[in-house]
Amino acid sequence: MEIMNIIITGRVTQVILLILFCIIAVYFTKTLPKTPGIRRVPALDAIDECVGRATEMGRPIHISSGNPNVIGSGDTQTMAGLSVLNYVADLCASRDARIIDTSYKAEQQVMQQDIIKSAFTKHGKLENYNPNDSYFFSGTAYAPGIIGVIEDERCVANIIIGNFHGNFALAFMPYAFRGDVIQIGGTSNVTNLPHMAALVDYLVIAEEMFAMDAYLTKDKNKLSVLYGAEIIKYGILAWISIGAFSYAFGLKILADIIHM
Amino acid sequence: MSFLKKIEGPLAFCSITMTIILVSYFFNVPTIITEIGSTLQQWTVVIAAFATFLGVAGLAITHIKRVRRKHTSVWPFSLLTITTMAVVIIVGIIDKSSGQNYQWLFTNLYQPLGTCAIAIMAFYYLEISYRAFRARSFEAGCFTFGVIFVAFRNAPIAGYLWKGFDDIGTWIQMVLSMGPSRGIHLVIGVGMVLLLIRTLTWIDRGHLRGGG
Repeated sequence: MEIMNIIITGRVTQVILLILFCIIAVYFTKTLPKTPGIRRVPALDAIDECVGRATEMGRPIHISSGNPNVIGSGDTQTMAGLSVLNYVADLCASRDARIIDTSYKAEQQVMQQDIIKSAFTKHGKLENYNPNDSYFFSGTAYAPGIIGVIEDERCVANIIIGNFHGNFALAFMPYAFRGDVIQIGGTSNVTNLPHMAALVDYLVIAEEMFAMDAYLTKDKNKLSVLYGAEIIKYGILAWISIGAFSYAFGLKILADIIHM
Repeated sequence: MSFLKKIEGPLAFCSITMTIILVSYFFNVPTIITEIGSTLQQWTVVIAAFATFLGVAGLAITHIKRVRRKHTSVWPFSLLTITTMAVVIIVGIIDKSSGQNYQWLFTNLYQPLGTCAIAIMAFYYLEISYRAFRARSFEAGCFTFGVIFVAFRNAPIAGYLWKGFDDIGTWIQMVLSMGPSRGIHLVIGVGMVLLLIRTLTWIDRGHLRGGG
């Protein structure tokens, strides 16, 4: 039991699960003979359609990574949002589509600008990059600001994937049910999910956000990690189900293991 | 120093920092590692301040360029942004954030403008509520049905009309809504761990300068 003393009490199960998670992820990355398949996510497939439409119509796409906590809780959602921005910027640069980004925080604007500029540089089309297509709307001006940009620039798509607080889902409102602006939204904030579900055409829900990068790039390593995570997830679900039933019959062993 | 310019620099720094913090969180390690871990976490405040400074500098550069080039019709707004930013920063430095002048700016300029922006959205709220609550399909019908009970549960008059609103609304919120909500929380947790592993192992690098 000496090894158990190395781990802080109450965190034993957590650390074992994390290590197990890592081992399974690395195992599948190394051993899977071919790229694993992944179910369709209509919201992410629609991104291609949005960029295609933007190129054909000569109108821009609007994108934002929500209200970020670049440093703090919720930063994983921002990272996921920035990964999507990276993909969209890459597509826009390759297909000569115009991309407009808006940000809620000044530091977010710098990061978004950098990602978009890198995408245009990568495709050797730096002359197509316009720093003026980057807008900053702080506080309550965020949602109305986005609406103003989409109206003025006649954007064909509104893609907002990231961390959302408060009333930011308002940015989707005017275009819900209108049809001329394709809306793709995504967040892991459960309080904002219902608003988004009611307003957007395509929704990236909860965990899909963290799988977006793997889905979009179709990278074998990323998909292999995802494959391992699915197996872990089924394991956790089995644990919860068996634990719930056994707890109902007075067996608390699985619950006790969690608290180790 | 060229190493710092490459993407591997921030990635390596990120991995080392994450590993130290994870190790100090989970394991009974020597005090020095725990102290390094807690110091690194305290650094987030300093880094946040630098990030804000970077953001303000980036914002100023963008808008100054717009004003100098008289970019389309939006350049007066850029001028207004720079002026406002400068005034708030100067007043904040001289008067401190708790000072009377700074508070005056916040109470009499920022707050009314913010409230105004939200008030405009009220009309959109009305329109969307009307459209969302029209039951056009079975799912929309279920949604509307549930919303009616939850909305009435929160309305004081509902209790006088029929006690069932309160009971059914509470059941919808605490049972029907809670289950899926916890399920979503669970998969979000798994997804976050997944992202952590991918970032730690440099598989996921799209959030940094396009991953290249």
